[in-house]
Amino acid sequence: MAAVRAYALIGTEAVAVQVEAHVRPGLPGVSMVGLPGVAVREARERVRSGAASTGMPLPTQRITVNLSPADVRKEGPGFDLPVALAVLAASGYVSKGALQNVGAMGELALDGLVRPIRGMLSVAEAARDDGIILLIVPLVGLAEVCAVDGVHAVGVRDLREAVMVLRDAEKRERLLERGRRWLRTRKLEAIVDRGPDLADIAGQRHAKRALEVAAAGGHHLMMVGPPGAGKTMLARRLPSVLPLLDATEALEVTRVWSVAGLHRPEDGLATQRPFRAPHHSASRSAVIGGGSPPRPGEASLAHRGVLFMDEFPEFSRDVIESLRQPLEEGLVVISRKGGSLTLPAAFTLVGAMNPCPCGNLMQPERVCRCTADMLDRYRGRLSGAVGDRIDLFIDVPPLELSAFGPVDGRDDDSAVVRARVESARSFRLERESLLSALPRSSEEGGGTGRSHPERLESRMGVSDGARSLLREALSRHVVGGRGYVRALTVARTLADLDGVSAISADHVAEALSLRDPGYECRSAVAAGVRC
Amino acid sequence: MLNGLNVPAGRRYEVRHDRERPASGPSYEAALGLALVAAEGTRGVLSLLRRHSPEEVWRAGRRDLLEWTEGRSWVDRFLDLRSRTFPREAASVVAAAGLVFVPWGHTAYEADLMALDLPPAGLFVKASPEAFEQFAAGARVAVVGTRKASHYGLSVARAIGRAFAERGVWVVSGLALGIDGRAHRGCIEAGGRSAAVLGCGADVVYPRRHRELYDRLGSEGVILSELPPGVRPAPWFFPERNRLLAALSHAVVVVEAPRRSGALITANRALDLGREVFAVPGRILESVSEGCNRLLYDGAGLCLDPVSLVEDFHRFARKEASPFLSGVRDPAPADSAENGLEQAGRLAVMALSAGPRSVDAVADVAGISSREASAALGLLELRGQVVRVSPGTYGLSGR
Repeated sequence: MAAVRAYALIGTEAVAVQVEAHVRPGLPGVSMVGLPGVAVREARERVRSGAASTGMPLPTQRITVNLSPADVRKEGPGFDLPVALAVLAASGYVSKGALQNVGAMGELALDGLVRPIRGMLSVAEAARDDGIILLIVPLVGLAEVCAVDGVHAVGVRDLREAVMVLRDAEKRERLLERGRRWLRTRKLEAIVDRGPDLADIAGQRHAKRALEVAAAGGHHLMMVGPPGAGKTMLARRLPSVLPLLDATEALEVTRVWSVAGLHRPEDGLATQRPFRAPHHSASRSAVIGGGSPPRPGEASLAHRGVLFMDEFPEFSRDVIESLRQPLEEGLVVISRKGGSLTLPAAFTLVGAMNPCPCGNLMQPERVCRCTADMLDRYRGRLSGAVGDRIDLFIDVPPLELSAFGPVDGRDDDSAVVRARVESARSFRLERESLLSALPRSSEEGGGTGRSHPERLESRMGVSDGARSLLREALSRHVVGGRGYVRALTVARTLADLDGVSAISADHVAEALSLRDPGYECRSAVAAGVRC
Repeated sequence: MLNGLNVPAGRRYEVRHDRERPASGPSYEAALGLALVAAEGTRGVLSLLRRHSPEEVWRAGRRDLLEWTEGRSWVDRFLDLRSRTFPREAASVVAAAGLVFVPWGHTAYEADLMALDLPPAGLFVKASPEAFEQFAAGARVAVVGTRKASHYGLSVARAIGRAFAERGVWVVSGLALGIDGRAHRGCIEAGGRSAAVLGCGADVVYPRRHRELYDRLGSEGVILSELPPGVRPAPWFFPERNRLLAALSHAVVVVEAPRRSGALITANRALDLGREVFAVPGRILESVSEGCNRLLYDGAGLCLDPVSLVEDFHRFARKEASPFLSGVRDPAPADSAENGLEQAGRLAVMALSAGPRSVDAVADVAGISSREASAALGLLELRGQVVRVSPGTYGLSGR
């Protein structure tokens, strides 16, 4: 019997699977046991052809392949290479000892080529933690695999090279050296594209400011405006003002994208923050993740980036409500009969909606034909758990014609804004590390509604002027308990952007103007306000 | 069967207001019967009320009716409906709905309604007896307009409602969303009294979201309709409601109306009846102002501002010698105290005086940065000086 290590994907995690092969006299054929999925079962045809094509025909004997642990369902074509190596070792092409502490992954072509698979980064991480001394991977996937520190990986083009690696130490060194060379040229070719720039947009200074605040404080944002006002353009530029991905974040993003099959393995680690814009007809499992086997949804693909939901109220109520958990905890838990699965989903939500279902409300020289009830229903979609977690609400009016024309360079481009965002974030970290001696009562985000205002204010550093303005807002019922906390949190971000430790009255006033109009707006609609 | 219950409330009215006409008697029942039958679709019968008493019409035989109407086709349908209508039993239903039926012949306003081609056989009223008496005797102005009003129109409706309230004039309107509701509210806010004429049964709250306003008008003002209790609103009732609204008012003010609008129907019916019509000028590019500007072009009275409108009303209204003119109260002085706002706030208020604007537009007009404008507006909103008409778009609150 020969055995090699392979890995099965469960969500974004890879779990070790021992692939064992045994050759015995009997009717020729390969039988596979150990809960293989359909694609894994089909591996025997690819392995048989791949092996024959590379000059190592399988013996005309009974071959049994076992995948252990036998109670984990194995899916996908990534088992082709391990199965082939185990079978070839059992058939005597490779010495069985050479497979000791060796892992492998890759899909086989019928001519023996080794192709990349989904989730190679997760596999590499699991292999490192598993104590694998040599991981045989598709050459194309080397960049992605080598993003993980401490992995000893060799890239192979085809099954023959994989066998050579195991048979011949000299050949192995040559292939490792080829891999290193290949990685170096990849790095040279890599072009860092930051995507569309904020400076492309004329006017909309209020909206740009809101993007900056959202980026600095990690606040979710809702944009309200008529069709054509530039909501989508603005949202697409939020990733460009967010801080660059740090090493950990890049790994997280790549892991999810790779598992979803959306990452180009030759790119190595992701360099850009994701921007995902699901259509409003998307189903719950498309947004949150699901299917069998479960795959990450848009919420997870937007991890560490931006989830843009255009026509927000048109999304099904089911989808909108399902955003509650990611907004609150930064992850999604998918529960199925086979068990539950946790996927990362820490994104900045940017919603966009028309002022009314027909889009003409508030538009000069246009007539809105929506009834007040339609408006209530439309805006009502925002209420509840999800609406409560959107800190920033802004209006995006259609541009006046004069705002077009030559760009006069007055507005900051993304790099300038990003520098401010980064300094605000580091100021915040510094401030919070000073506060860490204090008992932790609350942080921005979920569950702050119950914290005592004064304790919160002292943590946030509120000036007297700001305090009295907040008290006034509370006593006039301009904000309620939740609104108070949100206004304070946004004001804190504004102060961080200014690099000051005390929140001033100006910060509070600006924060109040960026808040959810909430019931005031709805009651104005009830009174029939149309403009 | 329900004899004991059938007309107590109606009798109370008749006894109080019109001793010469028996309340629960045949005349009351005949008028109620005609009101019920007219609501079923034979409105033509109401035309007979201009020459015959309700009792005569209710009792009339087929031959008389054919003769009076020169053989109109609805006569047989009327006779059929009449044979199946029992006003005495219906009276108890009216009382159970919390309404009072004021039959044809109520002296206080008969003259106003007599001018109509199809005068109502009576009115179903939800009001205290005192309120109704004052309504019938008082100066009344209809303030009407579109449901889909602009911020400007709503502010004006409210201001006009207040101005009339301060001078003791009843503000009559249709309880609809938009201008109507705002006019009612403005009037009530200023301590005035307001009446609603409905296009459904007077016990039916339509639109639903005006429940609170309906309750206030029912307890402090007057709600009335010519339709029997329980009748749901239908599109064809509203033009008829508008004719009643015009007839019950001494003048009509159209605040904001597009080219095709119920408010213009009200204005035209008012002109037919010889009432004065006023219109509020609007911006010529806004379709919602088209109807009003057209009225002005055709010679309607121009509403220069709420106060002069009230004076013009008194000058033109038929009840020129009304006691309300002598008891004129000065409008409350505007709050001129310096509010201590920063300059940005004042500039923002000035920028908003021409109508609602987005934050960027305020910043551009006021010549301040977008950030300053945002903060200033946040503060002004907190103080109640500006309101958000949509997220991020502010208008003056009209205080």
